[in-house]
Amino acid sequence: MSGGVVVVGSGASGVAFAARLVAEGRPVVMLDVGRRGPRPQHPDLDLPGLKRELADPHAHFLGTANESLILPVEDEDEYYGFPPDKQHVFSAHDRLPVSSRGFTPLLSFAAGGLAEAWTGGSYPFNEAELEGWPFGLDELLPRYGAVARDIGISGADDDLARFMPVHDGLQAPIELDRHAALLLADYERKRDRLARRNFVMGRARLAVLSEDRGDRRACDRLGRCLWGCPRGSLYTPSIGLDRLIGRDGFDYRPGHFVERFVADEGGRVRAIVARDEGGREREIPCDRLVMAAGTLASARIYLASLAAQGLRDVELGGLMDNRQMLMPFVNLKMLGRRYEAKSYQYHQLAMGLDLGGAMDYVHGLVTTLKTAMLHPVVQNLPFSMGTSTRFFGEMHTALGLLNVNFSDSPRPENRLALEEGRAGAAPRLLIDYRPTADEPARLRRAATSFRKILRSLGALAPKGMSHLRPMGASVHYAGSLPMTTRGPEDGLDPEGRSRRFDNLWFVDGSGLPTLPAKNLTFTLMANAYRVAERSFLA
Amino acid sequence: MNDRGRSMRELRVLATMLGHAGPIDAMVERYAAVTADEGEIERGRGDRGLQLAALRRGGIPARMASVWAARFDRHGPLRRREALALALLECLPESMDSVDRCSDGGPGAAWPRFLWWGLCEVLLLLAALPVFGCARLFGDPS
Repeated sequence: MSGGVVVVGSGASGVAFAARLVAEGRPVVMLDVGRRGPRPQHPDLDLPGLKRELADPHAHFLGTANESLILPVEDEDEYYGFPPDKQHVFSAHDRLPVSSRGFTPLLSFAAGGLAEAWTGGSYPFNEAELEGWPFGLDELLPRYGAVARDIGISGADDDLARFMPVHDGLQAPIELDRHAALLLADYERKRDRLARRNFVMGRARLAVLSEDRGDRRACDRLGRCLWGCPRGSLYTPSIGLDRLIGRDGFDYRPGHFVERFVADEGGRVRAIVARDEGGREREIPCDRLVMAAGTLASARIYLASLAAQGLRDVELGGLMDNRQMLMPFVNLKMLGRRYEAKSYQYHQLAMGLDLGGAMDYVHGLVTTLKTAMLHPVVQNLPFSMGTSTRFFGEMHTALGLLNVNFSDSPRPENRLALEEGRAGAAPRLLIDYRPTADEPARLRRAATSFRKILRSLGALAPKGMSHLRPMGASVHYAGSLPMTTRGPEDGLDPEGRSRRFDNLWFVDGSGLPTLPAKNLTFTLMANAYRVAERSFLA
Repeated sequence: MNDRGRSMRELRVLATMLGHAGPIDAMVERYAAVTADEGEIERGRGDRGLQLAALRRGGIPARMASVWAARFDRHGPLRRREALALALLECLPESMDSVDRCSDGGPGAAWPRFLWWGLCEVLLLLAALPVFGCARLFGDPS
């Protein structure tokens, strides 16, 4: 192989970057571990139909080794596990041991990366949220539209536009179930009063098709979202990757775990050192290297490369993640109502609450998850299991879950470092994270406001049921090598290029200077288009 | 009673408590495998042995044990068996008619049911308190 552009990682940003280049006829090599999950079975059946047809439904829903079974355990931070079909997304790699304090990291070695398990939330950052970034919304907005046209995003130009810019390329929003429709109708009646509380609500913006697009089909509300959309309605990067594989100029190489890159004395990356599936080390030459392995894995590769050059004490500060709070609520008007098996399972509605300033904006996503496994939820109710199950049955259609995202900003003490392993062992990635001192007050304030707002929409959110997810659980990692106009050597320029190495770019979350309270994936894809166009296609 | 027989018995009682009336044969192997991994009951927790004995007996004793576990032993072996049984039942095609069943009477019908279930829960707890409380304090009488 004679160099060229090499992309490391097949997550949302890596695939977006490669797609943009390949569309212009530029060759790209993609190195990836590339684990694959099972193919969906009986793709046209809804959930009850699937249960009827599966030869072994227990293996499908709980896993062959019961890996998705959640039993009551003391001091468990998370109360919902990953379904068997998504286990490959988060399974660990023995070449990347991690040690963390105050952070529960998730890494992915799947083809498609972490966004293989995303819920499709595609919310553009606004001008105020980009304050402190080395470029403005004018650079991202057209790329948001381009990504929307390429992957298919549904949504509406509604009240949420106050916090989310409207871009072109939106398909019509997906159909609401009765629960979500009632909430939205209540909101519309009380819109003016709620606006005075700086609250807005609208249709979720989702990477989910409401109209057919090529071989991907519009959402038919099969209720199987949690196990992976069998119709390809929900975009995942592996869909984009599969579309690229086989195209002229795209060379996908799964089975490669990238250890580090090798640079010459002039500060240019000349090769990548990767291990193949047999554990053999290989050196792969490259002219330009684009890191898209995800913030944590990219940081490890970067730090290992510096360590190989003798720079062993480098630490990367500024790690960020969206703290998430789960707030279950009961829509009283839905109590005892008939169950709709056919519904979209993730966010149908989104909420925005401005607590005073761009970074104090809080974003809530209303999920119904009617067909999720009950047992992890029911065991948390304060009754006997039989009563809890009956109670849940009565409440099921009335239940909602508000997933509240909080912004984060870079702080040097939240750092990534590398600890050398013993002879032959892989080096360990060290993660330190401490929330700000005012975080509890900030969370309390938002929780109180959302509780009051939900009450005015006819829904009750019992105080004791809210669950603060551990830091790291949102998987919105960012900020280890921020893009700045002028900044540290271990950072990026506004085009996403490393200040230390001339021919090295980062298009994953590493480069984000701040982290607004929104899923970052859509912005990563838009930024990957931006970097591709400005540095590679210009 | 051998392991399979005991698992069958426990699962049948749990399925009944969780509102399932259909066959359970397809789940017994999995239930037995998971409960076998749980190991021995922790010593010094007399109520735990009694909870499992009550579960195998079925009927009111099993319900009393379940209410007791919900209040005072939320991570104990009975609670874990209940969650396991629920998870297994949820995977069955007929789950929509049992554990996943949702009624359709509206809020007017829901509230009386909540009150009735709450009352039953309190009465069972009152009955369970002296029995399981003594077992917890003084050892396992089973």
